[in-house]
Amino acid sequence: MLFNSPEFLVFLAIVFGLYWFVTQRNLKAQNALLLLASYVFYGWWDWRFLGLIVLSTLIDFTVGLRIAAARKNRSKKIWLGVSLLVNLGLLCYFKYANFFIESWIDAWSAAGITMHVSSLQVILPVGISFYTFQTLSYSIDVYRGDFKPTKNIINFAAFVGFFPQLVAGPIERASRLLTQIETKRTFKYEEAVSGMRLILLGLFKKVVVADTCAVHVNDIFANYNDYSGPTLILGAIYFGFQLYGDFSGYSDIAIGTARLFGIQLMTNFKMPYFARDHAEFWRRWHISMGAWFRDYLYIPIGGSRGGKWKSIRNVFVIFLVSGLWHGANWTFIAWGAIQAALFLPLMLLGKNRRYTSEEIGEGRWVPTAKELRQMGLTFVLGSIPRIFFRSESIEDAVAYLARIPEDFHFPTTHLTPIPFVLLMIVVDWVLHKKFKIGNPLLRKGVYLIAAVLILVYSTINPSPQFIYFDF
Amino acid sequence: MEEFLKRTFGLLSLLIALLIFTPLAVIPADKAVEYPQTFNLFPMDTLSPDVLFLGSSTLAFGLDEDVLSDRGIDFFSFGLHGGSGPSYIFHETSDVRAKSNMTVLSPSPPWLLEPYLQPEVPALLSHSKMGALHVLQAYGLETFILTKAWALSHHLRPWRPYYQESETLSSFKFTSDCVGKRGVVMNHLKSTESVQGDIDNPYAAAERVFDPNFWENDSYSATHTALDLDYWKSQANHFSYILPIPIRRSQNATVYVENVHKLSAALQKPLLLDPESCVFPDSLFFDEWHLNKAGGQIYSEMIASAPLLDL
Repeated sequence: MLFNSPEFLVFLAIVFGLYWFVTQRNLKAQNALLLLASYVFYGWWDWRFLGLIVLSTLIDFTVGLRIAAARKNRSKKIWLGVSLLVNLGLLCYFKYANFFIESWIDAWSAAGITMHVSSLQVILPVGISFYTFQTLSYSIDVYRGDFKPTKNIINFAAFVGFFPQLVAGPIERASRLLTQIETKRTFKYEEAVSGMRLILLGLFKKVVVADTCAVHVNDIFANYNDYSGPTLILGAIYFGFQLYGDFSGYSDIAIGTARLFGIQLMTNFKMPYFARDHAEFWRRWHISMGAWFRDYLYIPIGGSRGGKWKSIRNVFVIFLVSGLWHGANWTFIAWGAIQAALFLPLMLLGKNRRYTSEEIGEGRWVPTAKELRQMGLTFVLGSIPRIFFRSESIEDAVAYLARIPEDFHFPTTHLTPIPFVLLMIVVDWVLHKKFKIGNPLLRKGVYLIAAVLILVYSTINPSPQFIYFDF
Repeated sequence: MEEFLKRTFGLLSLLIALLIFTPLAVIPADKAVEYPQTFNLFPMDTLSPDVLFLGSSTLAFGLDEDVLSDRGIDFFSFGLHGGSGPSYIFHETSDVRAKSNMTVLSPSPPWLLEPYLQPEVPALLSHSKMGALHVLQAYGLETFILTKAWALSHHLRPWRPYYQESETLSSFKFTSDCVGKRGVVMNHLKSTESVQGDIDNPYAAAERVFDPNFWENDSYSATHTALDLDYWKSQANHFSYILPIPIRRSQNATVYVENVHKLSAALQKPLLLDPESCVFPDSLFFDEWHLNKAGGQIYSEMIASAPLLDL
C-alpha cells in the first residue's frame, strides 16, 4: 500500500479509529491492532513476502531471548551468528543473487569464456533492506547488552513490522521504538496535529516536487545523448530534488503517521541540501541509515582509530557497503566510492566536524554569500555520485558526465520543474528557520493550497512508487 | 481528540467543497473538448497546408514527411489515437480545415466497425489528456495545470460522472494518445527505432486501445459490423477524400475494407487509394497496427502518386 494512494487514506482512517476508540484502554489490543494493520499494509503489495517478515521476526525474537539466557559468551556469539546468517542470507539472496550470477557470467565472458547460466530473476521484496537492518540491530543490541530483550512476541513483531516505517525507514532501534510500543500511549492533540502537518509536507514533497522532477529526469537520463550540457545539468539537479523529495517525503509521512498513533520516530533528514560540506551533508541525509552503519559497521571495524590508512579503509568500507545496500548494481558501488572520495579529504584535513550546529545561518533569515557558495558547491559535488546512482550503468554515467561540456546551449525544454525545485528550497528554508504562520486563516489557506496541489499532481504524475521501495 | 477530529474534518470538508463546487462556476462540463484549444496545446491556427490528413496514429506512423515533401506536397498530418474519435478530431481541426485545400480522412478501424461512442469520447479524451500531460511536457509542450483539477473535480462527483466507464473507454487512462500527438506536434515522423524507444519508455507508453487479436475476434466483428451511415452523413462535410489505413496481410480486415467502400459510395467521397492495395506484408509493420519506416515510405509513395492528390 502506498502512502500516496486513496487506499492508504481509508486504511489510515480505519486503523486510527480502531486504535483510539476501540482498543485505547488495552495496550495489548492496541499492539495487536498495530501488528495486524502492519501486515495488511505490507501484504497489500504481495502477501507472499509476509512470510519473510514473519521468519525474520521469529528468528530475532528467539535469538534475543537465547542471547539473554546464554551464560557463555560463545553461545551468545553463536546465536548472534544465527541472526546474522539468516537475515543477511535472506537479504543477499533476494537482493544480490541476480547481481552476483550476472557479474560472474560477465567476468568469465570478459576472459573469453561464455557461460550459459540463467539468472534466477529473484523478485526483491519491498523494504527488505530496512526491516532486516532493524531486526539485526535488535539482536546486536541484545548481544552487546545495550537492550534487554522483550518476551512479548506481539510487541516485537509490531516493532519489526510497524507499518509507517516498515518499507523505507527510518530504520529504528529497539531502544527507541520497541520501548514506545511497550509503553501505554495517550492521544496528544499537538502531536497529532504536527503529525498531520508532516504527512501533508511529505505528500507535497513526493507528489508535487519529486514526481514532477521524475518525469523530466526519466526522459533526460534515458536520452542523454540527445540533450545539451545544460539540460543534462538540469537533469542532475532535478534528480537531486526528486531523490530528496521522494525519500524525505516518505520519511515525513512515516514520522507523521507514527505520531498519529502516539509514537515518535527519529528524524531522518535535516535539510541536507543546505549542508555546507560533504561531512555535514551526511549528518543530514538518511540519518537513520548513517547511524546504523556508524554503530554496527564503522565503529566495530575501528572507525577513525588505528591510523590514517585504517581510517581511509574504513571510510571506503562504510560507503561501499552503503552503496551495495542500495542495490545490486555497479553504479551504486561507484556511488559509494565517489561519496568516500568526497568525504575523505575533509576527514584527513580534520575538517569533517566543522559544521555540527543544527541551524544554518544562525540568527539570520538568509544565509551569507559564503554559506550560499558552500551549499552550492556541496550540492554540485554531490550531484556527481547521484548521476551514477541514477544511471543504468557506469558507462552511461560516464557518458552523461562527458557529454555535459560537449554541447553547451541554453535549454528550451525540461524547464517545467524549475519553479518546483525553487519552491522546495523555499519551503525547506522556511521550515529550517522554524517560521510559523501566526494567522490561523492564512495557515489553513496554505494547507488547502498544498492539499489541492497534492490532489492535482497525484493524478498528473505517473510514478506513485517511492524510489527507496526498490532498495 | 474531539478538537483534532473537528479540525481535520473541517479542513477536509473545505478541500472537498473547493474541488467540487468551484469548477462548476468556471467551466461547464460540456465544454471539455475545448480545453486543449483554449490552452493552445497545439498551435494549429497558424497552419494553412494544401492537404490536411485527419486520422489516427496510423497516420503518425504511416506518413513519411520526407517522401511527401520531396514530392512537393504541402501537408499537415493530424493523427490522434484511434480511440479519440472523428468528432473530436474534426472539432480540433476546424480552423486549419477551413484554410486547407483538401481534407483527407483516414478512418481508424473502430470508427467503421461499430456505431461510435460519440458524446463520451471527447470528454474522455480531455480526461485522458490529463494523464498524458507528462508526455506532452517531455516533448517540450506547455501544458495548463488546472485542466487536471477540473477533470479531477468532475471525477470526484459520483452523481455526475465525467465519462462513462466501459472496457473500451478505460483503456484511455494512461497516455493513450501520445504517439499520435507527436505526429501533430512535430509534423514529421521519427525513425522507427526511436518510435519504438518511446513506446518502450514507460513514460511515453502508448496503451493499445484494442486487443491485439481485434481482427480475429469473431464475436467482436459479429456484433460490431454495422457502419453508422447516419452519423457519417452528418459528418461528411468535414472531409473531401477517404484514405484507407495500411493493414497487415495476416489480418482478416474484410469488414473494414467493405466498410471503407460502403462509406465512399454512400457519401460519394472518393477513395484516395484502393483499400485492397493497402494490405501490406507483415514485415512492413512494427506492431499490429503501425507501419515501420520502410512501410511508411512505401505507403507515402502510394499516397503521393495518387491522382487525386495532384494539386
